[in-house]
Amino acid sequence: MGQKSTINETMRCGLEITANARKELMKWSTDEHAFFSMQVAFDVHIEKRPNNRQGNMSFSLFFDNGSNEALSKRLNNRVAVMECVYQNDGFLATGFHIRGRREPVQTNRRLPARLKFLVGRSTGIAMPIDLYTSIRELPIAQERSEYVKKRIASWEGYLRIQESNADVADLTTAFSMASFNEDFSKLSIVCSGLKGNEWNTIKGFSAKMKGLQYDIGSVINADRSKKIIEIELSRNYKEMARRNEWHPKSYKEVVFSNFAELSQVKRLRKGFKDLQDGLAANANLEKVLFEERPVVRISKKQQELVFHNELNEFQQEAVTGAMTSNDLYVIQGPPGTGKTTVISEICHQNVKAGLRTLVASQANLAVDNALGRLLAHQDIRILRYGRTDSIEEEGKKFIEENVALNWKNETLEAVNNQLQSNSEKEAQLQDDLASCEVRLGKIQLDLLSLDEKVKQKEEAEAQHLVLSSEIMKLSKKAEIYKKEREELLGNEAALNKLADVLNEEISRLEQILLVANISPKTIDKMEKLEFQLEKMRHYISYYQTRQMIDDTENAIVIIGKELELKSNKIDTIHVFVKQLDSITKIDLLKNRLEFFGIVPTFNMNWKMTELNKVIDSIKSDTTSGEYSDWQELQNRLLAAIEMIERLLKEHGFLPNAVRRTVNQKYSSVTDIHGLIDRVGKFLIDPSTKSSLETRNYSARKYDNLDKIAIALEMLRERKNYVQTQGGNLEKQNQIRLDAEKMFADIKTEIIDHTHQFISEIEQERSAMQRNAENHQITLNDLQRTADKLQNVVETVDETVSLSEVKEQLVQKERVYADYLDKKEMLKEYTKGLDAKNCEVDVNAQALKNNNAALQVISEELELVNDERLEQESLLAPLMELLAQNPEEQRQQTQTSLMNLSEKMKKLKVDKERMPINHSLQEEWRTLLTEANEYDLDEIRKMYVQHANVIGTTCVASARRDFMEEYPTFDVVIIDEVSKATPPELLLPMLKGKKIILVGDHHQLPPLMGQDTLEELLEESDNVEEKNELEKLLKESLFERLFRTLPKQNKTMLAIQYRMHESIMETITPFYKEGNYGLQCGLTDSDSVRDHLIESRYVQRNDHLLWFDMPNEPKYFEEKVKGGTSRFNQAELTMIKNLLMDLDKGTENAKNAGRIKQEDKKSVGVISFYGEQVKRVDRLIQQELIPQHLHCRTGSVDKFQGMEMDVIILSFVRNHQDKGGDIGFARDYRRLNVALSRARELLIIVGSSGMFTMRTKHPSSREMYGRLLESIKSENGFRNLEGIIKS
Amino acid sequence: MNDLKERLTKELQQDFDVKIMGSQSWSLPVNSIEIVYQTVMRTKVDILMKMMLIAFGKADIATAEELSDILLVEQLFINDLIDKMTRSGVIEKREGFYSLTDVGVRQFKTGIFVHEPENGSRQALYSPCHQTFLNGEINSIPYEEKGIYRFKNEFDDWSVATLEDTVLLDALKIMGVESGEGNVQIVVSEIISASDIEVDLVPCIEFHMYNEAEDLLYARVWNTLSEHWDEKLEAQLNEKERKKWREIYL
Repeated sequence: MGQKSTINETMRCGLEITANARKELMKWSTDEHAFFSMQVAFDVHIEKRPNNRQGNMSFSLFFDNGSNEALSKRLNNRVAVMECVYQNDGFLATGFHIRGRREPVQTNRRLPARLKFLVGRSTGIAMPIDLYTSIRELPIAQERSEYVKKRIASWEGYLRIQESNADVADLTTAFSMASFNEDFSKLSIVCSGLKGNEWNTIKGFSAKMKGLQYDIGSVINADRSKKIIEIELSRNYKEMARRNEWHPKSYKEVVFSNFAELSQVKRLRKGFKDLQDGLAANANLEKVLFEERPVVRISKKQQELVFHNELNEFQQEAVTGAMTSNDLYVIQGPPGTGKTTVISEICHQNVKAGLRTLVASQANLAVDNALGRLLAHQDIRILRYGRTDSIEEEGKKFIEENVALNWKNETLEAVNNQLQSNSEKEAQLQDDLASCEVRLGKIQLDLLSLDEKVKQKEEAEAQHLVLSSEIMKLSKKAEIYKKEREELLGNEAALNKLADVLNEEISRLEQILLVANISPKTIDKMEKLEFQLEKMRHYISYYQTRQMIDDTENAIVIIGKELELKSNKIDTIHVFVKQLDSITKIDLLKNRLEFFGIVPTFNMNWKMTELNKVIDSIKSDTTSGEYSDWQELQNRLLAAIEMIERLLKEHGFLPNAVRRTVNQKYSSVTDIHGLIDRVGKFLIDPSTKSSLETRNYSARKYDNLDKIAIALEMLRERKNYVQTQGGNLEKQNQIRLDAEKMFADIKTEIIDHTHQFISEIEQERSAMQRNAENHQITLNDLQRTADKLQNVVETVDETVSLSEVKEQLVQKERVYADYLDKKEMLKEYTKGLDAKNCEVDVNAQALKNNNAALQVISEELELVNDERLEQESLLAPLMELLAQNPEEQRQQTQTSLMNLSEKMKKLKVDKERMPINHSLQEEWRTLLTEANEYDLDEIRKMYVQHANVIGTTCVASARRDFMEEYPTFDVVIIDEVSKATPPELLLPMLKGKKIILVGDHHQLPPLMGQDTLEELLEESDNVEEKNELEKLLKESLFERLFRTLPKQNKTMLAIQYRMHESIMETITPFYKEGNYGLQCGLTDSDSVRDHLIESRYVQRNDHLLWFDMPNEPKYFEEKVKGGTSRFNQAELTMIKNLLMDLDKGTENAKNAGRIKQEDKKSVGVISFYGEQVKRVDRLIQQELIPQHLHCRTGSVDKFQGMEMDVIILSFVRNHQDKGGDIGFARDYRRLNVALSRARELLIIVGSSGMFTMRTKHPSSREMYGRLLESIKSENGFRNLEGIIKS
Repeated sequence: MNDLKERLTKELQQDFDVKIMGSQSWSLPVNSIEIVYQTVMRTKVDILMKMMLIAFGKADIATAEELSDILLVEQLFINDLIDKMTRSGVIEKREGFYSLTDVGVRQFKTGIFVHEPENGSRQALYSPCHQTFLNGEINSIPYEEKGIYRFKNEFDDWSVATLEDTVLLDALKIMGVESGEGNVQIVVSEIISASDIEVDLVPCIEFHMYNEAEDLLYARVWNTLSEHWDEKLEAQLNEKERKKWREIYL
């Protein structure tokens, strides 16, 4: 079960206590030590709370009030809760309090553990790691609850709808008249005191006469216009009314109460709460229900089951799946596919597996149906739980007060059967014994002969062993010989092959020699050729030597010329060197160098370029004048300045700070000399002199002094300027000197270079002279050679060119080389031929030897084989003996002997016991017959205790007494799931460890009060309510689960056994899905679903009929005055005709012997509209009273789950209103239910024009159109006279 | 008789929407059957436990399964009781078989018959038309009706011999023949005989009712013996005569 990993053994766990917790604990014990030593250990359920502010894990420990005996006694069975945090490797109790007895202790969110608390500060024992891990992994209970709460909120709508009806206070009103109906099942009262909307709300309320203690029944109808309220009476009051003991008219007021509804809503709400609190028997339930992909635990491999019912493949799959799967299994079962059989089989399988099953459904009828189908078997103990008067006949025998009686009756029947068959059994026993005796004798004989056989076999085995080893030896020998022979044969072949190859080779060589022989003429010719060749070579040599002599002479002449050139050059260079001293200009130098063809070195080039640059810079310098001029000027300036300074000092003139302005005016040497002259002139000017000579101060004197001071400043400034200019000139002077030096360097370098150049040329000259000498020597040699050759060649034919001779030579040489090659080759071939001939001789000798050896071996082998065959022929009979297995046979025979003896012993015991058992059974029968209340009560107690299949409605499964008696079930099966709302389904689901849902989402959905959700939605004009309803409509729990569950958790039953095939065809479109289609399981529909009726309207082979009502006013629907329901008189008339016809037809069939006299055809007349049903019912009960039909009427909705031989379906709707509304009939699920109730014959009475043409919804038109087509194809479309229409 | 009819008429007329279209009275034949039976007194011991004690005393039974096969009772029940009896020291396993201890033997002896059987007889009223016994006292009927129930003939093919023992036993039980107080109880141990003694006539009053609002016709029959509106007779009349009434009354 999910995370519930129970820790079984006791664990030690440190516990510290806060003052607060101690205070609480001391209310129950003297101190904490006393408290926790009350028991050795405590069973607790640990719930995780969110971490506290310090981030410690927090827990609530719930002390089990069931298993902690001492504690429970002390606390008067209440539940203790200790709040703890995890701290210091143990718990720290921060609080302790007591909750009520009913406080749930064990939930899916809590960890059960048995703890021994070590109380005190310094226990020093760490919490066991298992426990620590478990509590750490616990989900925080509150968070899980929040999650479930959030998800389950989507179902709130259902409850709100129910609550909106239920949340009404009791209504008390006076009534004036009261009247029972025909069979005292209903009471009608006339009320005038009810207000407008109260008429609507009281539907479904329970009713009670003021002054009576109990409810008399529940309101099933409230007709405001007639002021009549119809109450369905409870069984009790019905009986009282029959006995005339209860007169409603004697009461004045009636009280309507919705207590039942309210308590139902309360139970549903509690279901929500329980799921939130983790109280589901299956911890996984919350996940399965709410996750988009339900997470179910995957089960191990499927079990092999033995079935008790006859099941088809789909049913077997469903049962096997339901038995093997975990958590949840869903079965989709279209009409007539044997859902109930499957449920019954699953119950039986569960009983066999020792599991307790709950069968639940929304309606009592479905529960009773399912239980009623269960096989009577002594191991199946069925209990029907619920209000006795709401349980149907099939379920009655299983209610608690009847189970004992039912048990007694069944046991009695079984005992009776047994007793009756006892004498037969005795005879049987006797027979068995006798036949056993006979078999025993035979087996013993067999055994003897088998012993003999075993002995023979043993002897044969020994013999066999000897022979085998002998044969083995021979075989080995033969094997060796064979191998040898094979080898020899192989050799022979190889030798032969070799000989062939050699012969071939020899003949080839001979052939070659024959062809390639050289004639003596050729040899002669070739010898001459050799001489010619020699001569030609000499001639060529001579010729070539002469050419070389010419070449050499030429070369000597050229060298002489060059030598002369070199001498000249040396002479000119010497001239240049002499000139060099006189050259002062660089450009000239360059010019000369070029002229004399002297290539300056890189270094020289660079230096010359540098020099050029320096020369350029000297040229560009604008400063004029010579350095010496400036020097002189400066000296004069200094003298002037000194003089003036002295003058000024003498006169005590302190010059003002004079601004020195650069005076550009005097920049050249002459200008500045001019300036000094001017100053001198001023000074020696007599006026100036006189003014200065005055001792006293005068303005003029001052003025002059000032002027002098200014002049001084000017001179000073200019002195600086001159100094600068002088510096510059000095620098330039330096550069010029450098340049001159550089030029001198270059010259020196050139001289060095030139000398080197000269020596190089001289070297070259001497080399040439040597060369010339060499040539001369060669020439001499060549002339000698030429002379020699001329002697050899004798005459030299000068006309033949050298190249021609050369060509001839090459050709002749080639011919001669070929000749030599060929000669060599012939020599080789001849040698090869000799070798081969030698080899042939050797080979022939080897072959001869080999053949001789082969002969010997073959003879040996034949001998050995003969011997082996002889031995083997001896072995065959032995093998035959050995092949037999007398030991095993003996073993088997012995076993069967033992079995037989055992059986006989048992039979004898049985036989001996027969009389005793018989008498015991008789006694038992007597006791059972005499069983009285007391006995049955004892049986009842035992039965209830051991009941293993329990049936109840969804809502009743949450009743408190039931919860206490059966808190959980191993398996919960819920039938007709689609008829229940999710909150209703939740109640039984909470109780199941495994849940099996059975239903059909293509049939009608749950009713909310009297209406389906769709109808509520249609009627609602509250936007909010509409939204709520739409939300609920979207989620059909069953459909969603069926869609989303993994394959092994669901199945669809696909074979139906109820309907004639052609009736089935009308609903197959609703189930078409992928490759799934509804199949008919009836092997021959026509014979097993023969309705046996032949009448005016119906023929034997008709199974599907539609009597078409024209879409004309005469046939239109009507509405009841003051009500909403509708009826259709024309259709009623047609139904009347049909029923009379069927009654007559059945009577005829009886008379013709097709139907048994006492049988009745079951006919259901159903309609989409309650008013029509009511009228049909009256028609049947009051007017027709058919003698041969068993008629039942009801709305389509009420008929879900039922089946009849014949069904007449009245559509009612027929009008020409604009909307073309067909009301309830629009829902395909309703049509599906309506069409699938009939076994043999389905008759539709309705307007095809209305339903296939006038109705505005395309989907409705299509749906009914398809139905019409289906009926037409069976020739079942009729007019009102019953004549086939097309 | 007329008083009764008048009272009933009045009461029926109080129902709204309903008219009494017609009424008549007639007699229903009821047979007095004398049932002779035997009762025994015995202590209250649960029958299954008693049966097991008997079995352990008489036969060699080694396992619960064996006993389950003989008594055709679920093994679980047998196991339960074996445990219970072993715990209270009534039985023990000896040489592989269950057997009674001394305590068991004593308890067993006192647990069966306390007294010898006694014979008794009672008269019960059987109505062939109902095919059941009826409750009531013939003596208390102060009226008489000449006409006999018109469909009586349809139920003629019966005789007292066809009545099964269980039906007779049920009738006796309903009359309170069996009783149990304290640790002792009286039970019918055997039906010795049943004989048809006489036929009494029980007057019945028949009304034909019509509910105008819903166009329904139906019968109400007051049975003076059982003193109630007799459902069975009403159903018989409805089925057989409704069509006729429709023709007559409407």
